[in-house]
Amino acid sequence: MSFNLELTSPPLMAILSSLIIWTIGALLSFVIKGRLIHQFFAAILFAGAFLLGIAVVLFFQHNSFSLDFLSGFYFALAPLSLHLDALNCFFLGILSVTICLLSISLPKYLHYYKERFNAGIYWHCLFAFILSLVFTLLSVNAICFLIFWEIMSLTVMMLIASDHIRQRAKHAALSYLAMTIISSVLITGAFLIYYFHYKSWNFSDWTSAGSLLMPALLLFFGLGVKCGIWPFQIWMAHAQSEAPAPVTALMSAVMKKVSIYAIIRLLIINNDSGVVLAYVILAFGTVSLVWGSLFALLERDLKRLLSFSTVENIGLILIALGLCLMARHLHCWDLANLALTAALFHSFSHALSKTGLFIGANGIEAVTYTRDLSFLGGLAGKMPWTTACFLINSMAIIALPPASGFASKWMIYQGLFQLATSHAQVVDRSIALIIVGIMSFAGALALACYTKAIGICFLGRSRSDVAGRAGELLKTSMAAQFVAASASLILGVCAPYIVRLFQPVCLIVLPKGADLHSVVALPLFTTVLLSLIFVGSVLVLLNKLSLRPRARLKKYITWDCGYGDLPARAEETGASFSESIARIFAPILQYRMITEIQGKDRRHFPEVIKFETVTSPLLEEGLYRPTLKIIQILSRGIAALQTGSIHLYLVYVFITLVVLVSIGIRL
Amino acid sequence: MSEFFLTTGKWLSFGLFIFFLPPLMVGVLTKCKARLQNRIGAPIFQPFYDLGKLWRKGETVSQTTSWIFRGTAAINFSVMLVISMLLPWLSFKPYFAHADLILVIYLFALTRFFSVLAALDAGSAFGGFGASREVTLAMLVEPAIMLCLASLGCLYSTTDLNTIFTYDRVCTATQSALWLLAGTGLFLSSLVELSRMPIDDPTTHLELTMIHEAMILENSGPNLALTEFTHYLKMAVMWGLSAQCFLHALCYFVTINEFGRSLASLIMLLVVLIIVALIEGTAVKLQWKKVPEFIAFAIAMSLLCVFVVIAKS
Amino acid sequence: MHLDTFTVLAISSAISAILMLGTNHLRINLFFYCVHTLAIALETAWIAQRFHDTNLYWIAFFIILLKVIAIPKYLQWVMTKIDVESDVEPFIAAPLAMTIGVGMLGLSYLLSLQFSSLWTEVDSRMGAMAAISVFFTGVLLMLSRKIAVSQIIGFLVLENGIYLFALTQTHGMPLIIEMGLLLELLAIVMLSGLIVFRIKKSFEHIDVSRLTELRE
Repeated sequence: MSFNLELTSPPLMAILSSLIIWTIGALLSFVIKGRLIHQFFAAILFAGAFLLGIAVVLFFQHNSFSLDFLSGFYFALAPLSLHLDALNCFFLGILSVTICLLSISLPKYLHYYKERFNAGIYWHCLFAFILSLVFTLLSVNAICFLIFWEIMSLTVMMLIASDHIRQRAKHAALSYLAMTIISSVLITGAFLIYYFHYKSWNFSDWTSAGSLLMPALLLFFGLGVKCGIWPFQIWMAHAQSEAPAPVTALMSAVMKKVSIYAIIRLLIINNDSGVVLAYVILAFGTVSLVWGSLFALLERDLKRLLSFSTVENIGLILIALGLCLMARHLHCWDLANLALTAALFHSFSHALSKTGLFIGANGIEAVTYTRDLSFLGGLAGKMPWTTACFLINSMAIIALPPASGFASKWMIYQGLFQLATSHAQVVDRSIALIIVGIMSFAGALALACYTKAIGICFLGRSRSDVAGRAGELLKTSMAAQFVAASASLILGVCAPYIVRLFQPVCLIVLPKGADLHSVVALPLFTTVLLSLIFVGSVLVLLNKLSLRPRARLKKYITWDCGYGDLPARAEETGASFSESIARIFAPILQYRMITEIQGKDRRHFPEVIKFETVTSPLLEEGLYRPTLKIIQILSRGIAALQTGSIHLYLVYVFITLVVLVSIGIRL
Repeated sequence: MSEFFLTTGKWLSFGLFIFFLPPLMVGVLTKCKARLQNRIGAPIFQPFYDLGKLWRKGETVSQTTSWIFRGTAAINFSVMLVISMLLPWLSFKPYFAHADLILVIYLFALTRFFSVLAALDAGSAFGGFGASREVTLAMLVEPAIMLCLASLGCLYSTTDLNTIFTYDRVCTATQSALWLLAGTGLFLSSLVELSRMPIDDPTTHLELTMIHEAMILENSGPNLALTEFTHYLKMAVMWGLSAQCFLHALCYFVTINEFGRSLASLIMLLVVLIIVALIEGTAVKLQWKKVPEFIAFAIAMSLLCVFVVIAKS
Repeated sequence: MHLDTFTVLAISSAISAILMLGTNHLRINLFFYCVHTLAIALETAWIAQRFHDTNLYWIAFFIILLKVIAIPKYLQWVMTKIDVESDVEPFIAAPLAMTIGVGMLGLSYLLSLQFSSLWTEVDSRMGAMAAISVFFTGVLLMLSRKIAVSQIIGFLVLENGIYLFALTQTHGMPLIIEMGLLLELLAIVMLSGLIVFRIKKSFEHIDVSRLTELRE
């Protein structure tokens, strides 16, 4: 065992103690039972995450650091060795912030599940998941990475299937398992090719890993399956809506970021000639961006909407990473730094806001027992805090100023502009501007999606009797959402200063750092701050100076065109809100409207009107189902070989022997 | 000392322009339309009287609304004031701050976000209907505006709108062509964003034509005054921007000094208003299914801008 | 890309052709076609003035006479007679077709960079780019539209593209050949008009995609 820092240094002690606390939690989950079980384990979770966060902050104060842990324990081919540097630390920071926020909002939500799952196994799997996440981030060689990656996937599958009585949860777990296996196969294949090329399992020996095209593509797709980029985003919708409360947020916020970390660690470090890879990453990022926002818009289920929106944001991060690779190829180090910082900033901001959004969605589900947008509505009066925080967190995801999402999206735009005005080829420059157009298009789609979510969920009148049950669930969940929302506002306004903190991370990935303070123009964010102050003062002026007298305010019903008592179901629904856009994209969404009117004289005196909108997922019908069918046909064909007859098996053995002997004679 | 007076004078006159030009513009537009239809029409200062009347009236608010509804009018008003101080829609704008083009586009998106939420807040079918159409049109038109401004930015290698729209440079033929294309693209996009003909008829309140009007249906009294003024300001800013683009395109042929430039901006704004009046008077409102075809022309203009700027270097 | 008259005329003809893709209304298509052909005629006249070739002046005159005035008037008459205003749902929706058209313009620019500039005073590659783009636009028109009249217009645009390419890469073909081509074009359009009448009388529609009914 060897450490670079002393064993008693504070950051190292903090990180070790958080790991130990979590391990104790994992072991204790088998023995402890009782009413307060969820609160107890949530406290352990929070303690561990808090210590991890302190460790990360302390590590960043050591300007350059790296920590190595080499044990003698061999996983058959390579030792268990861990390495901590600025890059890992950043993602550990994301992990700790997310878990802190989640753990303080957890306990009441899990009581919602009560008898439907086994609390002990749930907590055990959760701790195992988090520990495996940490170890995956810290792994130094491929074998370690693969082992902890597999543990991570398996624990997530068990967590998804916690609510195991429901059929949908089982289906979600199985589809997740299938996707995970595909991902592991691709990653293992890539790692094997790298091993044969570099004769070593260590990541640090894999110099210019991104330049070998074939394994790089395999690795990218393997990690992409876990990220949920197009065309692998199918499992996300199922899994993330069925998984219980904190798991969804963890998967969305953290597990995807581990894939992003792996892409950065393996494909971007030391890669100066990966143009083809850059094009591939840009292409898949752009398609995920548009596909994710489009499908998010059409969702009826609040959590599936949020998970498709994650696909969109991962697409943005991939665009930034592709830009970084292209900049490396052109040797524009300023641009590469800017793109990488944008990717990291967006990862952090997305993790923060998405966690806040999921906590809000969990709160809604816990009090109203439904996630379906067509049954919600009018919750703003009963849950004001959740509404306000949901609003600000979605502002961060849509990238509206002054929230943090705007800062990162602005940086990506700036990076694309710089590429378009650089000395790159005509094709690259036109691609940059086209991606600018596509990003603004997807941004407007995201705006449509989140206004639908907020408007249908919180505003208007309630579409079923759930509003009577609604109410703020837990002070701590409100606090968690509030922290997420205000953090994103602060990040958004103070972006130039925050960007400086990413320097150590960039220095690891890129050969030359750059002072981004001038690029992430301080004037811009001063403008944002000044505008904020101006807007605030105008609002105060308008209200306080009684220019809009409240005395003459009259409350009345919404204008109903004289029809009288319209029921709440006559309001705009989610489907009608997204109908205009769905109609434009009908070929992609396979969108059809079926109308059936019954009555004596159908046109003039209708009695029953049935109206149905159908969208069928193009990828599932067009790609996955045929592939599954082909695999089933092939398997049936191969299964015919297994007849169960001993004589036939002896014949197989004999034929194999003959073939092998003849090959041996030839050589 | 004289510098101080000059700057203060600039700020005061600009403030006057922000508050008095938009309703005046709308009055002129209504007068032009009326004249085209052989009517006398309302006086030019009618919008001022309307705004004053609305401000003095009492307000009726729906019971189903939350703080978002009342807050939106004020938030949009203040954000639009910020935009009008940032965008160089008149050539004599005093320097406020770094007017990043991405920031401006996303500030417009911020106003749209709150308008849509306010429309959904009342829980009426009209609001939802208008909101749904508004976000659809926004989705189609955002790339057009972004690409027009982005190609102008790439031409001058900056994203600061103040630097892009400055007059202190020599204009070549290619730049003039690019300004013309960008101006046309921005003008067509502004017709869509502002819900003017042929996308939406601003004078009727029928369900078939309402996009903007449906969203602000529940407002009354001072709220409505603020919302209407915000819309007028948005019109002034967007048409002013297109007018500036056309003026820059003209700069290839003539050079004007600073005072003449200010006059020319106002005249060009008047020309744009007359064109809008002509379109409003003669065009037929497009069927909703045909609106994407109209927007495709704006997108084609912006793509041509991209093409010109890439092929130029 | 230096903008002189040659390039401006070539690119405006390409852009008018692309704008034709964006609308299904046949009269507007014809209007854009007139603008497009006028730009090509002016380009011919400009080259004639530059290289002092009187033959090209004649060619420009006949282009204006035949392609800008005669053929559009004839097609308008045909449309009035068969009472067709606008195209039925095309295979590729108009907005998408126009965006693809602008994309083709970019592609033709990349293609034209592979040529070498043949003239010294002007960049003939810009002319080649415009010509290739017009050619693609014509093909796209013919592929995406369903009405016979649109197919005729698409063919005319295609032919314009080929002519423009020949014009900008050489100094125009000899007078006899050009005249022959124009007359042949006139004959083809007249014949197509007559056939459109027959199709309308036999089938009650001029939707070319439905002619596959003939198989049964």
